[in-house]
Amino acid sequence: MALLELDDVHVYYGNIHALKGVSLTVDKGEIVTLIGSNGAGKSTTLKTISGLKHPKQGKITLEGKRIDAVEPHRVVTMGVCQAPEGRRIFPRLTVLENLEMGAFHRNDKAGIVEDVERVFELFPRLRERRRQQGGTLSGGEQQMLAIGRALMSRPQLLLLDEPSMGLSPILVETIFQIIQEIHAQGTPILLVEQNALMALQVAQRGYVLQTGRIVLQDTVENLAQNEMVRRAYLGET
Amino acid sequence: MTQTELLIQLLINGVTIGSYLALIALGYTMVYGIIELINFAHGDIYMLGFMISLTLLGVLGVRGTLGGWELWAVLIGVMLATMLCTGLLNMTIDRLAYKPLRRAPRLAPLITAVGMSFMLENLAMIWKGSSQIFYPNVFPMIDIPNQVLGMKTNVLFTTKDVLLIGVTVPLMVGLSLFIRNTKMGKAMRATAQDREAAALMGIDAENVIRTTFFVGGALAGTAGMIVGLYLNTGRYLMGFDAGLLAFTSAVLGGIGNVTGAMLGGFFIGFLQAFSDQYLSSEWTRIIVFTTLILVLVFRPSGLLGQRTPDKL
Amino acid sequence: MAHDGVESVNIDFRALLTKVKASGADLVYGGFLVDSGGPQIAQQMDALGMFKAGVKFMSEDAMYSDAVPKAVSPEALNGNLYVTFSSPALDQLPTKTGQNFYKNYKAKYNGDPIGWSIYSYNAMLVILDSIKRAAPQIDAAKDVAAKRQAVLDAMTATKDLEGVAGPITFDKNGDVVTALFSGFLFKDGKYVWQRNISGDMKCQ
Repeated sequence: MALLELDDVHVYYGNIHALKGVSLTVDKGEIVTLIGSNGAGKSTTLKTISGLKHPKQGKITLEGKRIDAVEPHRVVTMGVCQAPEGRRIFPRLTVLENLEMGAFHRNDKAGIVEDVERVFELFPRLRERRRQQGGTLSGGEQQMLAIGRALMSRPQLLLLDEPSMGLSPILVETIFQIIQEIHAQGTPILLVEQNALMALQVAQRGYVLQTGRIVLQDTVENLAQNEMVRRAYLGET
Repeated sequence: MTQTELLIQLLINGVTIGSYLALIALGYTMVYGIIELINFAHGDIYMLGFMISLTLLGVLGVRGTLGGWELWAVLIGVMLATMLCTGLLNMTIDRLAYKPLRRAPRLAPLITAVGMSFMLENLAMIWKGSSQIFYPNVFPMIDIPNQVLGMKTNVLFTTKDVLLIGVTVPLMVGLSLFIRNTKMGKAMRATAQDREAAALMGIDAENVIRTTFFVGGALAGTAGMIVGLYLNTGRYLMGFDAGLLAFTSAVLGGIGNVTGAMLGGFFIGFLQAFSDQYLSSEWTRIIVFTTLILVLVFRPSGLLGQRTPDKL
Repeated sequence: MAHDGVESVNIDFRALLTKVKASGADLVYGGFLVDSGGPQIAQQMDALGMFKAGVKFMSEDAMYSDAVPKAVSPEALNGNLYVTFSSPALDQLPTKTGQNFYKNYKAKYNGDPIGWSIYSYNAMLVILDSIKRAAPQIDAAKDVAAKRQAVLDAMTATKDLEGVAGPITFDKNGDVVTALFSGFLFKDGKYVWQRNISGDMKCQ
């Protein structure tokens, strides 16, 4: 049984049919990437998994349990946490408080302290700035905070929405290294990216989303060879 | 009365008025911070705190001034019960009137809040009548400088002033600590800053909203009871008047900002005391609202606000 | 002498009263209704120690009510609250109508009438008397409007009707020509008649 499975998921914004039957799976131990252009429905897919949107049709299961009608805060408790698009850190909470919010549903004080330590090891910059307000961080630091905050819930599955957006090339490298490190420590990741080049380097499998439909799914090696992917997402002519 | 005595007296008046306004203002600012609603019914929760505590004192058969352990037992017992009642009431109002409109355009809950305010006022009028209501003089009034300290002064500062400040200020400090340090307090701030992101972190926004309404209602209820003990008088419309000034305090301090609301409350208290003295009490409201307009023109986010408040 | 105003919904007048206290005034006069802050003013004057300092409070007929001593202890008010009222003391009412009214009111409501009760009783007397006198015209009138006009005409023509505190006659503006005013002082738990006030009602 797959860790996460979307089966023919349809999502609407009012009359707009945003997801037109998306099916995908993420297994334990995987990094799976979802690539596509602006407006293809990548973020909508993640929002729907997190429970911010509810599908009109289709089902979403986490280890066999239906989660498509579950409220977002319950989805976190069930083990799926998201670092959303645009980071969405709490600007007037300190770095430490932001991390504590990530662990909101947990009550194991010792474990939380341990995990804060783990996040600080992943992102030493955050340790330096732990008493600073989130809003005063640079874009890269905010992205680190967003990922660290999501990790604080000890997710069974981590959803990352455009972690490289707006970052300098060096920072993008750093972020992707850390994504691999998180994966190596045992957390499966569903990665949404516009930067397909980077995404295809770190993931094992990938899906290509176009106007609300999965048009292609394969291993990253095959996707990287695919003519359409090369033209549309890897910038080759 | 010498000029110095007068000045001291005005400061005392300002602090006492300010302290209960600040306590009410907190409820406005907290609710606005979380769901961007000006809860116009909030002033009436303060009025109901007065009415409910009055009823409880009546049930206990308290008619006059108490002393010793009896005084403290009654005060603390009635205060906790009042806080519980007004807190739950405020939560119920949210559940019945505002929650169904959570996703509606902002004007809808706003108008509902105005309607809720009228409803509460009229229910209170049916319940307790339209005349002014007398609140038993439970707390002993002792003139501190003259009777305790043996000074000869015209400044009036009594045990009742001490009660008022002694209840409101610790509650404000307590609320600040609650919001700053507890998990729920941090969740309230997180929800206020980004409700969707908070939900993605596992924070149940509805639970946070319920808590906010409860805490705001409990504080307003306490203010109602304390004002009853302090002024020994009230009326079903008292919440309208105090609510307007408290709302102004909240906006002045930067709506959504808890420290700002407290600061705004004391500011309005002083403004009222000094304007009544040196201008005319007919002008006080004009002064208060003109100040509000000036602050909003030159510092739209209020004294301590971090963002521009949305226009009503 | 100074003049000030208050909001009818306010209940906290301490700031204003501090100003009065500081000014060294001897008397606070306020045209209050029982519901618009009058009793609160008296109560907070007491709380600020103004009565003890010899300041008196004066108001008009609408404050001729038990509500004031209920708000402030009768002891504190003793000798400190004046009200004016368009009637002599209730037990000295000059007319038979007045004496009967007082007797019946006390029997029925188990307490003294307040200012408004006397006014409304007088008003009802005027209305009933007007209808009675207009009876022939009412019968002769063709439509409702004419009937109403007949009553109104009779009402403005009211002359020497025996009211609670004396005869009622209206002038061409509808004002009462002969009005009896007197001043009361709150003393020993009740309003005690002090003296009559000039009845010509002319402003000086």
